[in-house]
Amino acid sequence: MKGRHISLRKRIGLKLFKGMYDGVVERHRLRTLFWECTLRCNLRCRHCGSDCRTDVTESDMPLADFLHVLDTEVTPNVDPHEVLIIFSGGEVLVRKDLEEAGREVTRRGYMWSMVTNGLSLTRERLHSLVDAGLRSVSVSFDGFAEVHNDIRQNAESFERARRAIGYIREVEGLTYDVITCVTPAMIERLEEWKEFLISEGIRNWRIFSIFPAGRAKVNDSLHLTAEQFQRLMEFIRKTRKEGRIELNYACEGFLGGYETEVRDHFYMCNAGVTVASIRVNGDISGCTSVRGNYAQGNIYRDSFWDVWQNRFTPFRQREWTKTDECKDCKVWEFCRGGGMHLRDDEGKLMYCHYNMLKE
Amino acid sequence: MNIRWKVALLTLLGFSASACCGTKKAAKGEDKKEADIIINENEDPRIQLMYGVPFPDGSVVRPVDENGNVVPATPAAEGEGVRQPDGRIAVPLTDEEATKLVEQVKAEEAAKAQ
Repeated sequence: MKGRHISLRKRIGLKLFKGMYDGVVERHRLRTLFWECTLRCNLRCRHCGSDCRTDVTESDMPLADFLHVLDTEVTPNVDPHEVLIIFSGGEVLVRKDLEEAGREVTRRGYMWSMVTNGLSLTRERLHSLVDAGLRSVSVSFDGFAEVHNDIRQNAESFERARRAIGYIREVEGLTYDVITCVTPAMIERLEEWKEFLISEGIRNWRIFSIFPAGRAKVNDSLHLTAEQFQRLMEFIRKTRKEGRIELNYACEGFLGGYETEVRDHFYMCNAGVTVASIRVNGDISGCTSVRGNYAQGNIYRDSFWDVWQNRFTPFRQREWTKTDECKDCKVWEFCRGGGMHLRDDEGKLMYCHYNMLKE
Repeated sequence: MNIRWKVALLTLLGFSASACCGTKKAAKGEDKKEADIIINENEDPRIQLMYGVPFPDGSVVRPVDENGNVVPATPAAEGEGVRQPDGRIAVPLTDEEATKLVEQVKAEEAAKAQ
């Protein structure tokens, strides 16, 4: 068991990487832009961090508003070929103009991609999106039918997601992965789940665990215990060594001795560093999972590029996170207070992955 | 210490170059058995964001059949279901079946609520 112990070799690696990450922050080149194009969703998942629902009061952002920001603020300042635009929600497929949006951003030289629950993805719709320039897609797939359908609160969501992944796999060159949010109900069945995914021909798999935001905040049954979390890390490490399926733990938090062993890269939070988002209400932020009150501006009153260049201080200078349990933490220099999405409205850390790992 | 040195040291320590900087695989040459990793020190690393997607690689091609025709964008017949670990066969529902199922679930929920 690796736990929290960091070997000397890894500590040197982390120190070297730390200096490189400082450069990334200083340059803060925009590489990924989320467009939260809707908060509408055709599911009502128990673990939703966005608290999306079918009857949202927030309207979708008009495509023209997003394109206006691209044309006047983003494109003049970046090489579009180096920026990946991710359509996110809500459930993006509820938007009828997704193809038009795709065509428009492709025409401007950007790559675009989307995250979906797969419920309403038909082969026909997928091909239509591919024709509109879709380059990468991620599908949520949280476990066997009883677990997935229970979390998604929809009896057909498992089969629909499975079918959607099958359609995606048919398209040569379309990059994809499946995302599993591991809950206590799946911990005992991870091996079986892995074999199932492999038998389905899936090659790319990403795992994350619940963090207490949105509806997940009040669903204690979805949270892993420290022991379960450690078992999850061991499972990922072992699976990666096997090499039968590409598996990564998401960019959630610093993982001590597991760094570089459960994901391809050292831990870093790129929210507000290389990643920006335009929220459905026009707010400009880091990743869409970051709490709403960390918005740095709004496209309807601020210049996006000015905000990107000159604000985002809480994202790029993390000294303010050195409070409470982070104050005297020995690994703060590598972790910098964890992911921005793990900070609550008052800036307090809601969940520490490092502390979840036993000695 | 510049980035190149740091990357070199990290590589010597056994860490993959992709763990710390932008990298790309060189095209396989005829005389090369394995693709080389080219380190691009001007590129910042791309990471797997929690709610993000994997970075696209390759160009997208629509599926073609054995005659080279693009597969029609109409639902094809589903193959056999996959056996799940509990022994059940998972067979995809048709749209009609799914609609019926949803209606049935809704009716059950409504009955419970009463």
